[in-house]
Amino acid sequence: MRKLAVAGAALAIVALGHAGAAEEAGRFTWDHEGYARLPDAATAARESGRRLLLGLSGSPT
Amino acid sequence: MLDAKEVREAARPFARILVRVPEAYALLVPYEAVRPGLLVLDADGRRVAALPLVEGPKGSPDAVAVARFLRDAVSAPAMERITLKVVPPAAAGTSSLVAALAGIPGVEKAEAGKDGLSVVARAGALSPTVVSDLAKQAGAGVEFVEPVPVAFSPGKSTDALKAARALAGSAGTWYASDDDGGLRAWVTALLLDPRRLEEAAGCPSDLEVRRYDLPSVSTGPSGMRISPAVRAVPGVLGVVPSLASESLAVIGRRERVRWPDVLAALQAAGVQAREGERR
Repeated sequence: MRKLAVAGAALAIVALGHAGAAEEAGRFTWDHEGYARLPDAATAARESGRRLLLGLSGSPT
Repeated sequence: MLDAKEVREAARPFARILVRVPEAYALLVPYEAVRPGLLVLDADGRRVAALPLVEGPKGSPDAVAVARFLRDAVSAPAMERITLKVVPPAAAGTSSLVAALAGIPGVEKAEAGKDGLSVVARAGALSPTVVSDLAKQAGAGVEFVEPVPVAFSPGKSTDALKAARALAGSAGTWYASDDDGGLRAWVTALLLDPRRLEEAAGCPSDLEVRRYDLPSVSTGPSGMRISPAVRAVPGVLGVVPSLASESLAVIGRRERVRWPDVLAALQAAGVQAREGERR
């Protein structure tokens, strides 16, 4: 049973290696964090022709 | 819900930034956004769209609705939000100026409030020169509050035209010009970064940044009071709180801001501040 679990984990790692870890893990990811980083993020967005998507957190932490 | 596959795919074309409280407070009222929620801006800080992620009368948006919002926001028009201070306040020509601005194609809203004039227009519909000319014709003096006008002092070796082009190409700059008024740029307050602007122009600006250490900034209701209190100090143009470094960068007009007043404003807002790095 334990060997099967280990094999399953190894397969999952192989899958992650194939297509972006965050994407495969099914998590929404943020490129930057913090209001103070906005000018940097805007510069990166401008250089790559993108817009800024700001997530305004409802959590104090 | 953000982890849903369709949302992740729809968010991929954006530069994604997570802003937590109290840093997020500065974005709520000026950008008509709420938290928790999403706000889309173009790379120059113009507002595109906002979506609340709170429970409303129709429930909270589901993954399909969020994905649709994001797909629409990729190409929706970015709107410039111009704020003007009328000098002197309530000048006779104010209503004529509002009417003249409202008549320009691409201007969606122009109205006078107690703090000045507020204009919402499609990106590129208005330039600072057009606004100033209209104000002159209407007999009203105006000062730009947003976007923030920044003046530069080109040296003898500065190629002013090249500098204006470089400024126009940097993030946050709505307009840049090299005319009779000298080398100037109009920059969204949210993205005001004097160091970056001066690098682009290759010469000094009329801005100054001072940093304040605020060990208590990260939590508590004082976070909400800080930005408005500091912004109310004459000459202050931008306030950039940093949760990560527990500090506040204050951007002011070099010749105009009285820095002891900034410290006093912070203390009046209930925070114990200490002046940090100067630049």
